[in-house]
Amino acid sequence: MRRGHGHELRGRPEMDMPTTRHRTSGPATGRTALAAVLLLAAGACDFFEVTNPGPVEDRFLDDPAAHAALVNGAARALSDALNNIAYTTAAITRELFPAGSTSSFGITPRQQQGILGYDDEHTGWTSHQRARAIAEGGFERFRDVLEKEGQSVQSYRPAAQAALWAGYANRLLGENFCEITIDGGPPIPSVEILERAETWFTTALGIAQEIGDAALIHAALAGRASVRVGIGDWAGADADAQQVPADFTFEMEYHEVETDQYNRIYWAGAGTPYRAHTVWNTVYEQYYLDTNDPRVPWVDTGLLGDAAVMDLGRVPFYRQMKYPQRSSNIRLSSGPEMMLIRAEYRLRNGDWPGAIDLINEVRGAAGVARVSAADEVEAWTLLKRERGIELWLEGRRMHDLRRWEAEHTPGELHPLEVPGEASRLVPNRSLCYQIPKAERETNPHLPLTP
Amino acid sequence: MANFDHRLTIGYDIAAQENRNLRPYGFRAAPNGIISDQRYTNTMLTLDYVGSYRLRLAERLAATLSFGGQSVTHEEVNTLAKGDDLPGPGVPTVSSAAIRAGFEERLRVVNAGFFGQALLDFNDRYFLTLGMRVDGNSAFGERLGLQMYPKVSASYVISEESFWPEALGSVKLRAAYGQSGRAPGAFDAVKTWNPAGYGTQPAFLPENLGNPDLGPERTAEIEVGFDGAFFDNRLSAEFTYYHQKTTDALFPVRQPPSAGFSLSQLGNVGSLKNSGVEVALHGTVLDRATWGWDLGASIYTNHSEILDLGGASEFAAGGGWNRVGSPVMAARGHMIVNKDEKADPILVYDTIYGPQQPTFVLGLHTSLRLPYGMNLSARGEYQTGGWIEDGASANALQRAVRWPTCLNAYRNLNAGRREELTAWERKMCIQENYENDFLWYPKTFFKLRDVTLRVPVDFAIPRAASASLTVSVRNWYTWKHRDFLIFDPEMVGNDGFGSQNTAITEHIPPTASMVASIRVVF
Repeated sequence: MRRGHGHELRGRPEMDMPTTRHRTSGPATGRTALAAVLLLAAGACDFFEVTNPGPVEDRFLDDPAAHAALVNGAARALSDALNNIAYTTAAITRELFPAGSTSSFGITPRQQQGILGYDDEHTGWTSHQRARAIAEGGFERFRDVLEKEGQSVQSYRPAAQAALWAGYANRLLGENFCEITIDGGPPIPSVEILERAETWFTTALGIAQEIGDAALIHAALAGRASVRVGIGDWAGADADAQQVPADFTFEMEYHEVETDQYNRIYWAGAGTPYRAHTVWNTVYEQYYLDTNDPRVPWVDTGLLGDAAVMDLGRVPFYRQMKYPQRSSNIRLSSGPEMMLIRAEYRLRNGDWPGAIDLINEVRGAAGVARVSAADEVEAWTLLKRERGIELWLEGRRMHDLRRWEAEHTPGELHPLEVPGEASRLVPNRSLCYQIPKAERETNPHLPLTP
Repeated sequence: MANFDHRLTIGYDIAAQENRNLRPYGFRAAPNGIISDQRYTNTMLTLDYVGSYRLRLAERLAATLSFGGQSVTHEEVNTLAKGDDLPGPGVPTVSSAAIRAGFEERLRVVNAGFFGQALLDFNDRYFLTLGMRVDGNSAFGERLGLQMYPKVSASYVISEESFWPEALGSVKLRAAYGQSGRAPGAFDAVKTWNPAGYGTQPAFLPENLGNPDLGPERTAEIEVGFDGAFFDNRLSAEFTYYHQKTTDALFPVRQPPSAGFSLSQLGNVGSLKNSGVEVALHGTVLDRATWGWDLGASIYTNHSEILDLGGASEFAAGGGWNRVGSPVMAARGHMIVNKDEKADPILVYDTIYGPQQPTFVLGLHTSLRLPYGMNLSARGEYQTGGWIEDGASANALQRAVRWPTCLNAYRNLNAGRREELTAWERKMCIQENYENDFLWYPKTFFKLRDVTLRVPVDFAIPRAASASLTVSVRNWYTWKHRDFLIFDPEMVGNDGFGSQNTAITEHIPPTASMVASIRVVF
């Protein structure tokens, strides 16, 4: 076996080799026993060596050369989490309509009706938590390693990236789960996780400013603005949002190297073999026909979904085209989102004309017609609609619906995205995930069922 | 030395499996084509040495001293090559694909141990064995080192005593107590990360949480029984009762995903017990010069129970659920309490059905010795007590696939008679009501394993010393419990070598077959 290459795990049994110690007797005791002893003794050096090449021991990650890969690990886990959240919540919010498959890349029968069960698979919980734990743990590891060397984490680029991923991982958790646990602890209200995200974004921002990395600065500001929306700190959100350029985009990357890294929304509708969702019977079906808005593209494939859906049988398969490839990225933050945060802040302060101006700025950049409102309620309706269009299939809609419902904000939602006969959503439609079964079965602070 | 024997055994086992999956270009469900090739190799090198020295300590007292050592070197190699997007028609390899990925896993571990044992024989009637085994494994770590497992056993040929009536046949009583251990894997103690990659960049993902305090689990077993032969050896019987208690039991304990390391971590968790009996009977009912009839039966029972979990909450491991008072790795799922009633279903979630493995196995065999050297034999087996989950039906029903177990429900629904549906049908056959984990079946069944007729045919083959024609039918008949709705109770999961998971998923059960063979000796 190879020796001393890389970070292979190696160990040596603590026991002494019995056959090298326990000679059976003198020469007359038999050649076979002697042969056994010689056979084992000859290879004793390597014979008892155990190897497990591949996995890397935790202590090796203290090496600064490994830090970039640790940050990438957080990003990969987060991409997996966003993949699951963006896809499943698209069905719950009717950004997409279910079109068949219910298992690996599908939408379960309950999710088809808008219910997120605590025992659902593909909640993204594990990936979310993995991303959070890698990023937060990575940051702490970097800090400890640097402190031992007499250096500060405040100018260490991998630490800024780790803090940024920690912020986005916490944002996804806080926006999409009703309650959250951390490190096997008791449940915490989602708003506290958003505050945790805010802290990490602030940390990332501080380091990014120290090292002068504009992209990191804008990503941290945009992330912090979005979680301040959830916290209710609208002045803070507006202040952050104003510092982000209108054309800024920060994306989660997807790759063609293996199925786990494909864009899930694309793959679940790629027809190889899944045709699990459709734009048919969503708000965006007619809206795209009316406006040709490039933010919500779809095509009529002439096919049907890949299985029966509820009592509808097979439904038309209109393929979304926002993500046309396996490697299509999903946005985490953007300038237009910041503009809409500022618009909502104005609405909340009674400046609905100012809000409409900002909405039209977003629409103008997208190349679609301006809108106008007669009053504040209409302005709210347009804002809710515009956020749906701008953030389509980015895993943000469910949190928007949840917070607007909780605050009883004015403005209407389209019948195809609220419970009713048209949407086929049940009245008790979910707007956040329960802590899933996998956590309940392993965390002593939680009951087995919600 | 005349009384000194040595035995050296060297064994090398290799098992290899290739799983090749091709969905060619133009395949309906994957038009661009997908190809994968997985190769799994499992090798085991075993070295086993035993030395025995016999000596007579007194006229009626003999002893046999034995000692030796074993080592088992286990290597696993698992490689997978996968490709998407084939270029067109033709016979592709993975290299033909536009997008390719490769994966490799390797593992090499060594377990070794040695033992010493003394067997005392007094008067060929009383036997006493004392022994000690010492095992080592790297996973025990510095704190644990070598582990010692003692054993003692005794047997008594009571029928040799003068007071034993000859008419009662010959009987040997036996009892034994021993300890054994099972080591954790060589790397279970270590916290590790998986270099997984992200796009074209290196990346680490959490893998094994690690547990530096891991130790071996220890099982103490008491066994009592007897061997007997009666009626001029026409009836033989063996009976054994066993009771095992395992402490520091090793379970792959799932971790809270919120801690980041979501894979199961082996841990020494609590204690459990196993007990049961083993009975074997074999009798010659008729014994004539040209024909005879033998009958035999065996019974095996096993009941496991988790005694405590060391304060840990109940958890899933090894494909089952572990809760104090329940069987080890039990079948847990949801239950429709009123499944046969024509009413809305009453549901109970997360209930323990029972063990996954059978608790009672009855084997029956018989053999007819017929004139002209013919022989007709049959063997059957009845099992009960275990439970199995029907994953294949679950996959179909949740996708609204029309499924045989729901045919009656479909007929009633089509006729507008929903009220005629049973609670089970209302839950499982209407897609919007469907939920997973309800499809558990009692693994109670009888299988006719084998019926064989052997006929000598040497008269038909010139110059043959002997020749026989054998015709066997295997697994030809199966009786299942009425609640076992579909498929076969001996299906297994797609979990590789040595899987204990018996879920109905992707693997076919033992096939029903008919085999005819001719054996000729010249």
